[in-house]
Amino acid sequence: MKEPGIKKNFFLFLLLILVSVLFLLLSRQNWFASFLGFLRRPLNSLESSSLASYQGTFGNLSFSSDNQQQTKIFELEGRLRQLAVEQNKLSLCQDENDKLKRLLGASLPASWQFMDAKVLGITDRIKIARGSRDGVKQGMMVVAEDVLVGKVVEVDSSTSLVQMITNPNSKIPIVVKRPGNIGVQAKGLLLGQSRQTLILDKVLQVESIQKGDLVTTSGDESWLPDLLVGQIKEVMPKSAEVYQKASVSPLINYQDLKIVFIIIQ
Amino acid sequence: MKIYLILLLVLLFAILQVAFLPFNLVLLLVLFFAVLDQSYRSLLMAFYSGLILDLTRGGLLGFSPLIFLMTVFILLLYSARFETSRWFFLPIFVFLISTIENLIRFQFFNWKQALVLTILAALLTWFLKSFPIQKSGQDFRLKI
Repeated sequence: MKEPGIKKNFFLFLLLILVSVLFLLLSRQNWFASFLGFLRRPLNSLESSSLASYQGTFGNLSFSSDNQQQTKIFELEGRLRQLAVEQNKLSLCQDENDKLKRLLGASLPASWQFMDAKVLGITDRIKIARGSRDGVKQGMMVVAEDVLVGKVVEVDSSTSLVQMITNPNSKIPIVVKRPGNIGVQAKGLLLGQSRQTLILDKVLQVESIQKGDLVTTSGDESWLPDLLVGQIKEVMPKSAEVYQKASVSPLINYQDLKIVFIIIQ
Repeated sequence: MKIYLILLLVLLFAILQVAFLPFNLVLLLVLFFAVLDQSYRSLLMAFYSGLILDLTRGGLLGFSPLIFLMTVFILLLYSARFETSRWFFLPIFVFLISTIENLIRFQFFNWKQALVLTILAALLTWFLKSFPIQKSGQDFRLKI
């Protein structure tokens, strides 16, 4: 490309940059939210059907190797998840019972309401088919089968984007609970790592954590309390550091998500 | 290939990318087009592709066109002084831009995604070397 070409292109470049900035500012002010919603509707259904075909195809591929074994594993994983959820509920009930005994007359938190949302896409973030016109707001928690999936980070009129807890930017204040025990074993910070791993950090060396312990939200920093996040997979060997670390496995497989629930308080 | 056909391909890539593919194939396509056609058309292509991607992705409209336009403009500036058709140019450029885009958009260094895109870019470059593209007017034709 020659120098005059650059000059000619430079004006076009500037013009297009200005138009893009204008679009960015106007869409931040929700100026053409309804128009975008109208344009995005057919695209959303295309995305949803592509995701469904992808989930179907890869589901069938894995099942074809050893159908019965895979079905059994799938069932067992579901039961394990259910068990973890029930254990969490049980320890919560025990906790609440204790508190109620001590604080007679204290009011219980208002019950949460859930809104279902179809999953349209799963990549760095999860795209769901609920937006501002359904009452979705930035910061709302999203769960699936009573397990925390993530937090709404972007909302437009008909869709929203959810940042998964496994995202490397995600930092969740958590508490560790031992199944069958009352109270909290440890407090810490859960950091996103990759699609299937989370790192539990900032747990004091004096606190006891072990494989199989449940990890739930502590309720600090705008996260709702007592939402099940995952299970400790491995406690890293103790070092000379002040804090101990553990790897945590999320209890859901994000690739299989079809419907999620948004918590509306 | 007509530009609207390429934009259809962009739309298809954008849908797949939002649905389940964790790689920015649209960015790769935009850069590939810019290497092939170093004219004002690659700026228009970057702008339209960015809009299509933002439309399918959801959220704010205008962010992807900004990133794509700046990327293509840098490539055009670079191509005025250096040879961009060298085999290593596109893969390295794709790696750098993909990394920067991820840092801006998601605030983390997603080297795996950048690496996959780099490999795809290298394959595309090899394909281009094996089957050179002939440009006639507004059309591109593969010399097979």
